[in-house]
Amino acid sequence: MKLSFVAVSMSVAVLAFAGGEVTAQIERLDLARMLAKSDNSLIGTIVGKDVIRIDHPVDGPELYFTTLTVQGTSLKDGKALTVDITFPGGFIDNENGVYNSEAPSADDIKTGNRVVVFYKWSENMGGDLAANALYASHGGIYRTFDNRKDVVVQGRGEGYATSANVSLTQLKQDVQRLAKK
Amino acid sequence: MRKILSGIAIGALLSLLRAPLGIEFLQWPAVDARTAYGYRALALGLAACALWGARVRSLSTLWLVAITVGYALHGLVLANLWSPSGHLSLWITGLAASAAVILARPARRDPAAAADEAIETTPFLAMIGIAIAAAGVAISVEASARHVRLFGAGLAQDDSLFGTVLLLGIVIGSAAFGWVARAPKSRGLAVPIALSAAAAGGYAALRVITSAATTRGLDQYLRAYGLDTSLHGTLVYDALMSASCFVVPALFIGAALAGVRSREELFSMLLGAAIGLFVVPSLFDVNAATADTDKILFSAQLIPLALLIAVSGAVLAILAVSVRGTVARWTGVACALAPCALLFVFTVRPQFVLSPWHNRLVMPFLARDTPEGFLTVEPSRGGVNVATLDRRVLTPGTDAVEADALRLMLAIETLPPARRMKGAIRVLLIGQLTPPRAIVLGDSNATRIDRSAAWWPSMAAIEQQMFASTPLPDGEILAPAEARRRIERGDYDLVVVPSVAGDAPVPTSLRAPEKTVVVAWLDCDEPLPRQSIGERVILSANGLDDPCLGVTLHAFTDGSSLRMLAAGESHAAPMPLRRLMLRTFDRQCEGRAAAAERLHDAARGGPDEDLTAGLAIFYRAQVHSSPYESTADQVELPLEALDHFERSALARSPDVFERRLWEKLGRVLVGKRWIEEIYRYVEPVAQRHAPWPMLEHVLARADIEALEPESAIARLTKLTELEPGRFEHWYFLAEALLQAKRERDAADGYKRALALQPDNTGVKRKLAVLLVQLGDSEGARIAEELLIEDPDDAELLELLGRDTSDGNPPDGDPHEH
Repeated sequence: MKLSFVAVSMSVAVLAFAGGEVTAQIERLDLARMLAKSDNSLIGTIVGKDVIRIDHPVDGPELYFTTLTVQGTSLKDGKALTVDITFPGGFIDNENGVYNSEAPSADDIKTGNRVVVFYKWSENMGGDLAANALYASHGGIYRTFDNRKDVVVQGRGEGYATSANVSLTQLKQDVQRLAKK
Repeated sequence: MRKILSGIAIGALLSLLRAPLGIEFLQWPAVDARTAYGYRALALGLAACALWGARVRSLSTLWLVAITVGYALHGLVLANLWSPSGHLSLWITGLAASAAVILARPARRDPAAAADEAIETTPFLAMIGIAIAAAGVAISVEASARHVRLFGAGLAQDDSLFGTVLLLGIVIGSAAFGWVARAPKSRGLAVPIALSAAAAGGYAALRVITSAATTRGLDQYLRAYGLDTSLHGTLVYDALMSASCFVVPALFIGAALAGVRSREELFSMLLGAAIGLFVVPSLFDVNAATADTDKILFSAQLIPLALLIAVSGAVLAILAVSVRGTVARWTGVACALAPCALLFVFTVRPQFVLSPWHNRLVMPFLARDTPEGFLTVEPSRGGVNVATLDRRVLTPGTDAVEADALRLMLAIETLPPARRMKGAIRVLLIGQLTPPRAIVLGDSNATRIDRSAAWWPSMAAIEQQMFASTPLPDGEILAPAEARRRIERGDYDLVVVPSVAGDAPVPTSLRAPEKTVVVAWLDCDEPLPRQSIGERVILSANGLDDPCLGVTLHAFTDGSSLRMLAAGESHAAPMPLRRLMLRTFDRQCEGRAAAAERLHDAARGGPDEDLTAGLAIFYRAQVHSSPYESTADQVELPLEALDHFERSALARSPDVFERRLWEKLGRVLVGKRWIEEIYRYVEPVAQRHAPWPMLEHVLARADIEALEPESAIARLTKLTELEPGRFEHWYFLAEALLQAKRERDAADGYKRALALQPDNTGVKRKLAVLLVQLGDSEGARIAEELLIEDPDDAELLELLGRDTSDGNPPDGDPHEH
């Protein structure tokens, strides 16, 4: 398939995990597709962050994964949730770690940030790590801020689940509407 | 014990006698080669005289260990606490250290040793031979060292480490092979043969240099030792590169020193090395005189020459030995001549070490060895040509052109207003002239720009590359002596020294007549000098990038828009060894933070306290970021720093520095999409100092993010009236109008933006989509135009109701890459 220049430039680069094999893919998403492909989404606060290193006989040495602990409520049904969500990359200390081109920025994953996240269970994210994977890596996390009336979820542009900024109220309604389909 | 102390004194002498940057006013950006090599040769010469005076007739391994310790102790531990800063202090230091060595000699002579010494006197001709051989070795080692220096970060601490590694190699050579050199059968032969082999060791160094001179080669070389190119300029990296290059010559030099049996031999060896070092710059004089690239001599080509010199000396020394028989002597001659085989086996080619630690191929327009070092003119990342000397960037690259221009403009601001108004400003630029610098100075009414610096013989060639067909401004390239004469004669209104990355120059050398204003810029990435930099300095930065301090003399600062800050006192100097443990980025952050903290300490209780506190917190907070993050995301912006900046900005009218600072903060906050922080910090400052278009624009962007398009429209409408020629205002006005569902008005906004940037495909595309949605036929016409440029644009094809060529929907299935 050929993607146009704009489509490519605005597409989300993601790591998709299919079967037991890790395959890097560019995947163009919208909210409906994201909801169809992920297990759940929640609005919550990042309350913890941990980086682990795995040296695997097959997948190779020095596999680093960051796990965020997000405490909040499901966008689908409003249930309270605390979920550990993992993505590839991260640093244990100044010397040990790896930058992943698809990982969220340091600003995105600051402890205390209130974010919207989309995740999906993966049996093997690499190095036999089974975890809730942040779906589409940086494309699966969206920062929020308060405006004068509501909470605003910051979109990331075309090709992402939330392309433009949207109020949290609107996003919840959209998610719940799409979840019912 | 006295032996150890003497050794330490000699080691310290070798480290101390290095000419610092700024030893003279005209040597701020780079030290003249004759001065630099002269003092290093002087150190060796004084060591030779001191050891002669102390009646030392051999250097045992213990001696060499002590010398190494002395050298490392000063160079890697104490250098930033104290080093000589001028000619007088260099001479006094040298003489004092030599006297210390002589005074520390054993008080009573051992009669047996004295008798032995009488037997071991060296014939004069042999002394000459050894001196010549040692000169060859010095040239060979220096030829390697000139390459090794290119692998480092170009700082004095790198040189100290390289020197320490060389001395360690010599210690090991003495300990490992000394017994061979000291064996009775080696008498009279070991020293010349070992010197000959040491000079040939340059070939081994060349092999390492050749293999590591490319990005791939260096990466592979480092990985073999568990290192990587990110460690460039750090302790282990420098140690590995220098050890690899120096190991062979160092081992043979160690063996030669261990074989020395008389004062004469030791004296002639050290003096010969001093002379060899002293003549190195003269060997490159030919390069300044020729434009023919085929006739240019490169450092690598010194190695065969050095080998020939060393072998000649060694043969002479062996033939002059009287204590050995004919067979032994001619065997010795054969051994000394053996390394000459390398001259026939290997063809030495110039080796260009062009920052192989960067993941980028450097293709210089000009590359030549000058007495001062390896000089290039090459494109920087971004395209602007830069001049480098020993890989130190002498002129600003693309990222730094703006900051450099600002510094030149601030320098002009230091002239008295009456002088500025009069025009026809005469400027001496101590540094390299570039087209942007010529434009800035020309726009500031500088009608004559003379220039001078240590590399002045090569300036014309550099300017030829830099300016190409662009006309040069009026002015001459001057030898430093002539420039000094003209300064003293009062020929200039302004003498300006642009900043050069790297070690800070010694600021005490600034001198000019009262009517000449001097502004010399100090880069803040490395520790500021220990010496006073005056009571007040100019603070300049491009926002928060490239912070520099302007040291001034006779500057007019009353009522000017310059940000003059109390210079403060020098903080505790960081130990070079500790700085070597840090990567380049961390060193840079630490240097900037230390400079800001120094300014903050001096500003406590004054009007600049908040500004300097903010700067100190900001620079201290910077950490290495993912290269995949956006430029704004890579900037750490502590809220505490923003609190200080805000208080400072609200307290008084912002000057040039503060305006740029806030505009940078605005850009970073927008880039980071920190909307709450924009309202919290930018809005009060924008309101206090309204109208401030840039900050209003930032607030409008925040309004769009906050889904408050009406507020954004109000701000941007005013901005388009105030600055109708700014593309950004029209573009974001259109975006805000679109968000407000005023599609017709948005289309008009896009059209106004497009009128300012007719080739902006992104805006053209947005306009096309919007117009098609509005049912405007112009949309289809613009879309057709865009399809000529990109016939596969699936979205536009779909917009026009056509099938995509490959049959897939425009936003189809996942696309594997």
